[in-house]
Amino acid sequence: MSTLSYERKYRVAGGGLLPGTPFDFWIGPFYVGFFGVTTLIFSIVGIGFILYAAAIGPTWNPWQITISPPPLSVGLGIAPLHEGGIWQIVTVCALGAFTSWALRQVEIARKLGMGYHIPFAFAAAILAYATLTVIRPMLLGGWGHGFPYGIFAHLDWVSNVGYQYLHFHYNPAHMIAVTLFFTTTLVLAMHGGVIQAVVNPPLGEHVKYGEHENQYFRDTIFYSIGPIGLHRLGWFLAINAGVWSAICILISGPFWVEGWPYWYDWYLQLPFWDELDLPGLSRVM
Amino acid sequence: MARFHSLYSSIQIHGPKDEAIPVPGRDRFGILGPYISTWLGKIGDPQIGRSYLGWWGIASLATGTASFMIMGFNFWAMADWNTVAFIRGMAWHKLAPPTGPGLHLRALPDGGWWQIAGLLLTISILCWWARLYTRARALGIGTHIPWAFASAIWLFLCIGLFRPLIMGTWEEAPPFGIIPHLNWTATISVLYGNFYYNPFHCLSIVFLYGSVLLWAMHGGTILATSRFGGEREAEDIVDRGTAVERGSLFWRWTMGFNANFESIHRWIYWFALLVGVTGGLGVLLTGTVVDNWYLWGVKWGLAPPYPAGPFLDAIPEDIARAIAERQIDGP
Amino acid sequence: MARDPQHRGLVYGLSGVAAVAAAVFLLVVPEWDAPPIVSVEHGPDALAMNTFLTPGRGVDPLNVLEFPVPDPVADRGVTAGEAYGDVEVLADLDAAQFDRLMVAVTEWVAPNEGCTFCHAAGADGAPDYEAEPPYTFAVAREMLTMVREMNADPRPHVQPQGVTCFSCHRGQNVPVYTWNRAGEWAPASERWYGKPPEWIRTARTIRDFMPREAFSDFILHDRSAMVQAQHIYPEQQSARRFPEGTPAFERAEHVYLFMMQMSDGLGVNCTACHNSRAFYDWGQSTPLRVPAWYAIDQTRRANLAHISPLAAVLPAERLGPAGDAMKANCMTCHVGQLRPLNGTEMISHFPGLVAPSPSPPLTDEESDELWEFIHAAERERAAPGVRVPD
Repeated sequence: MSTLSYERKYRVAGGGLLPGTPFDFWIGPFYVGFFGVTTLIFSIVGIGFILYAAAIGPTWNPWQITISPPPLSVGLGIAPLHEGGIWQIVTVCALGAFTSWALRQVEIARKLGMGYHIPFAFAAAILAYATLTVIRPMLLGGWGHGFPYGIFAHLDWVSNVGYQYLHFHYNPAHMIAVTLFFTTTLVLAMHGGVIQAVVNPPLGEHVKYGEHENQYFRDTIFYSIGPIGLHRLGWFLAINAGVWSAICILISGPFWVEGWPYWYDWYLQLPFWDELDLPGLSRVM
Repeated sequence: MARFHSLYSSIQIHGPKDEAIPVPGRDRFGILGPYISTWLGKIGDPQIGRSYLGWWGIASLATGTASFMIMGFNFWAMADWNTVAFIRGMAWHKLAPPTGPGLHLRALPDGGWWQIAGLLLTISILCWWARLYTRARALGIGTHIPWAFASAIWLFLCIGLFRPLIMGTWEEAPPFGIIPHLNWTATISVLYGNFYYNPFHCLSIVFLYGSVLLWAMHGGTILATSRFGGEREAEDIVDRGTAVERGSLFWRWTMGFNANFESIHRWIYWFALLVGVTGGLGVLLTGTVVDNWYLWGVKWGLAPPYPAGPFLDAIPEDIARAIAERQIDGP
Repeated sequence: MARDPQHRGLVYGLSGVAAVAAAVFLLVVPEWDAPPIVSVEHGPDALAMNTFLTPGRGVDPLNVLEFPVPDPVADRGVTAGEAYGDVEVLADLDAAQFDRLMVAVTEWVAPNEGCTFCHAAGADGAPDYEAEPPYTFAVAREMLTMVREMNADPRPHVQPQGVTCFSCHRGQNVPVYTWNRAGEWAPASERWYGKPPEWIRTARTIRDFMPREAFSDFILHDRSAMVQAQHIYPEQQSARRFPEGTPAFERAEHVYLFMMQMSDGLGVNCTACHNSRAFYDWGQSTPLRVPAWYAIDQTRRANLAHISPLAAVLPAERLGPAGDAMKANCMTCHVGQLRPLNGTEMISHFPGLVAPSPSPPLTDEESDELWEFIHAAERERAAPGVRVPD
């Protein structure tokens, strides 16, 4: 029931990361493995604490439930359970679960003879999360600089962090990250569109393949990157979107404390701008 | 290692160039190439062109270039034709929309150039859409790409045309310029109470992040199965090979569910497309249906409460009076 | 490398050099901070309402100056007015305290020039108090009036520290951080393109580079900054969309810009006063928003009633292109610190710098008269070909 018609021949034993490949079995469609077990443990503990925090909190409104990091006075120490301690436990569990999940993906990739591209890409997402909740708070000297776990609470936090630098759009790494997000989505739409277009042609047309995909993009945008290159591009763009997001928040605070607009003084002070005395803007006409 | 993971093409075989697929009329409009670029071949297909111009392409490029030149010459003129000032201020130059109520055409220095540049840009984009559509029909494939592009056009038009039309003033449209359009983005959020509480903005970001996530998952799957020919997706959709089976099982074993090679392209197509659709709706409702998204969020129970302690207990009386006297927000 | 038909070595080499060069440029040329970072919290925990400070960053030399205070002296028992005759602002001050204050003011504003910066010099170089004084005498009188008025204002902003000439001047004839309005260099009727950019193309810093309209709106004119919608649905929005005839969008950009410049001048950020999810809401603002509100009001009055009218007496080199005096903003006095000069007590040493009673707010008629005077002076003094803004 839960196995696909061709699945049996791929379900081979062994090949895990740990000697003897512990927990080398499937439950329904899920592969378990050692890292499946650790994922499960971290998830149960983490979600349990999230539910506990919600239960002792003022609301069960899912939009408003907030699990806040410790106050800044705690610094980088361990906080009392009800004053940020839960946030710390949830963060540890989240990082444990994410990392276990990535390692589980590695084991599954090994079983299937696949490359490690998926766990590698996932690692970029884990890096971005760790930057927000561990690396940046450590550089700033307090777990209180992590973001609260809550739907609109984390948006309020993002809003305030943006205004801590007056105008976050001026953050150069944020510019790059946003560009990457939009570009990734554009390329994704083009790819999803062309594959569907060739295998779902209008009535009376034959299904088409790579030749027509290439010709469509050569005709319209002068160049077709081709199927393998396209997936390299998309994978690269998506990973970079995550990495540059991490960079843009990492430099905000630890490496630049003022408003981002004021970072650009260096641009105005480049040596090759001559005196630009223009009429109306100085006494010299 | 790098070769094993298919991160670039270590071997390129340059045979005869791909000939364009014969389509009625294309000989007349064929342009550019084909050329071979070994550099491009390291990542993707080494062949550039042969491309196609066509009447829609000509119209699109002509209007787009005109629009671009109008912006550029305005910037240059505003810098008093000082080339150094023009280059130095490149990021800050601003071609602003007309101010004040009313949608009528304006004199050139009072926003007329913005109206012309915007009109030409819109024509250019719509012609590009027609080009995407007619090329897809000519090649006998589906029109999925032009419809996805239509979603981006929808967002563009909601921001620059539909919303200003409803508001009755061009003032609400963004200016042309790099920093100025970022300033517009920041300002519209403050002016209309906080875009983080705009539910369609939320959805648009969910789809945007979701698109990046799906690209990482899909790109990773295809690259990881490329040694089994996983990138030959259309062929694999029609005739499933081991790459599909491995890619599918990877996700089935990981998260208990898998798409197939065709349905994953539906997932990614709709995620990408909905970014524009929901984003456009969010813009369109701002200032027309909802004036303050934060208060809208409070009304629907979205805003979490915070401790009152560090905040002001009460507004000083003289400030309250001064504000009430200068109240421009209506009762 | 003997067989490298694809020039792989060259590719890697060139891309490596380019990447390293770009990275080095971005690390070396712009200014960066580095941990340890100190954070000052303004709002509730875990809401990212705090300012970051870097002990490691170089301090502005203006902020480490020592505040010059002459030794206290005993009263002489006669007022300055009785002793010297032509004393207008400080006539009721004891003559000994007056002398001491004059010594201090000289240290604060003209330590190198001495008394003759504001008083005529006699044949021997000594000050000649009877002769016709230079323009600086009139300026100093106006500035003393301004300082006394600010110190007498009971609303919380400058108390208890108080302000003196040194707050802004810091030993310079003209304070280091001031602002002028940008004139328009081509009248609208004579050009076919839009308004020239408001930013200053000679600026060396972003602070100077930003459009000055933001300052004009709120610390020169008395214009409403309340553009943010305060109700859910757009009822009666036409009033808000064009406050005082200006479109709300343009006004909102000016509010944003002014708030950035203000934050930068005070060395804080938006979250020092606001919870950014609802900027307008006083109930979600920190107590700091109250003095900030009064400060804007006081700065506006200082610029309008005391500094701008000096356009009539200042020499050309002390005026901007639009013929206006160099005006004050938050940065002029604060120089990037929440409490100027690290909170040094000032006014307690100089009780003469406090007016006996607070001045009433300017009436509309008084403002109109001031504007008429300022505009007339500026139009006369503006550089040739430059249009004076409203």
